[in-house]
Amino acid sequence: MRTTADGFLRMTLEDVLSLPFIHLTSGVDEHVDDGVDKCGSRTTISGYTEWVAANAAVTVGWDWIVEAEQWIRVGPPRSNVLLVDPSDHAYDWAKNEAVLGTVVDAIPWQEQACAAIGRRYA
Amino acid sequence: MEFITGTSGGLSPDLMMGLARFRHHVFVDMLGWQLQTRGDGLELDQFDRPDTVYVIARDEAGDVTGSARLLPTIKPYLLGEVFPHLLHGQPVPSSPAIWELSRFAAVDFSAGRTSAVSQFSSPVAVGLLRAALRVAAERGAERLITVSPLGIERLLRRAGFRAHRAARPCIVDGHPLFAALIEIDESPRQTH
Repeated sequence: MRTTADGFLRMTLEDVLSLPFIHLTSGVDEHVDDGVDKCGSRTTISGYTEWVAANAAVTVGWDWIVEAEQWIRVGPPRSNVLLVDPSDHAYDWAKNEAVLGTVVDAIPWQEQACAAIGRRYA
Repeated sequence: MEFITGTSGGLSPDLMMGLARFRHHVFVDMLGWQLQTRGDGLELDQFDRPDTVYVIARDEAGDVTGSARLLPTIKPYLLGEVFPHLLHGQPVPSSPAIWELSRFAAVDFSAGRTSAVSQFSSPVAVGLLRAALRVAAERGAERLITVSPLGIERLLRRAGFRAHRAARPCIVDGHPLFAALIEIDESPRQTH
C-alpha cells in the first residue's frame, strides 16, 4: 500500500478484502424543496454511509436508498483507494469504482447504517 | 453571467469589497461559520493575500454570485495551517502541482431560494468550478485540494468532476468534513 502524488492509496484487491471495515457515520439526505410537494406523493428515504478500515487509512462511502424496506446501495462507492493489479498497474476510474462496489456489497452495512440513522435522528 | 479572475492587486477595489460582502453573506450569515470578521459585513482572512487568486462570478446586474479562492500549496494555505488533522498524519501537500480551493460558493440571493446544497449544485457552481480549474491549470496545477463537508464529494461526482477524498472524514460538531482532491481533467465525465 502506498500513497501517490494524486492522493490515492494504491492497493491490491486482496489487500482491501483483508481489511476489517468499521462504520464511521451515516446520514439522511435533506429534502430539497422543489415546489412540487403533493399530498400523498411518495417519499423517498435516501442518504449516505461512511466506513473506514480499522487499521489502515482506507475510507469508503456510498449512497443508499430504502425501497420496500430494503437498504440498497445507489451509485459507485467513493474512496481514497485506487486498486492495482498484480503488476502494479492501476485500474482505470470506472473499473476501480466497479470493483470497489463489489467490495462494499460484501460488507453487512445495512443494519449498522440503519441503527446509526436511528440514533442520530431520534 | 461572467467569471472574473485575478489577484487582489489586479481586481478593482469595488469588486473585492463585493466579494468580501458576498462571502460574509454566504459563510457567516447563511452557513453560520464561526469566522473572525471585523464586524463590517466583510469576510477576509489571513489567506487573502496579494498573491491569492480569485475567481468571481457576477450576474448581469454586476452583483457577485460566486466566489472561489485559489492558493498555491507551496505557501501557507487553509488546509495546511488550520486543518492539517483532516489528513490524519499524512504529509500536508506542498507542491506546485496542487493548489487549494477555498471559500467556494455560488449563491444567487436574488433568486430567493437558497440552501447550502444549492451552492454546490447549480449551473453557476459548476461553471465557477470549471473556471477555477482552468485558472489553476494555467498556473501549473494538476489538481485542487479543498476542505469541504463530505456531501460535496457526491455533488462533484454527479456533476462529472473527478473528485476523491484524500483521507478519512473527520466528524466536526456532528458533521463530517474531509479533504477532497479534484483532478484537473480536461474531459470530466458523469460517473453516475
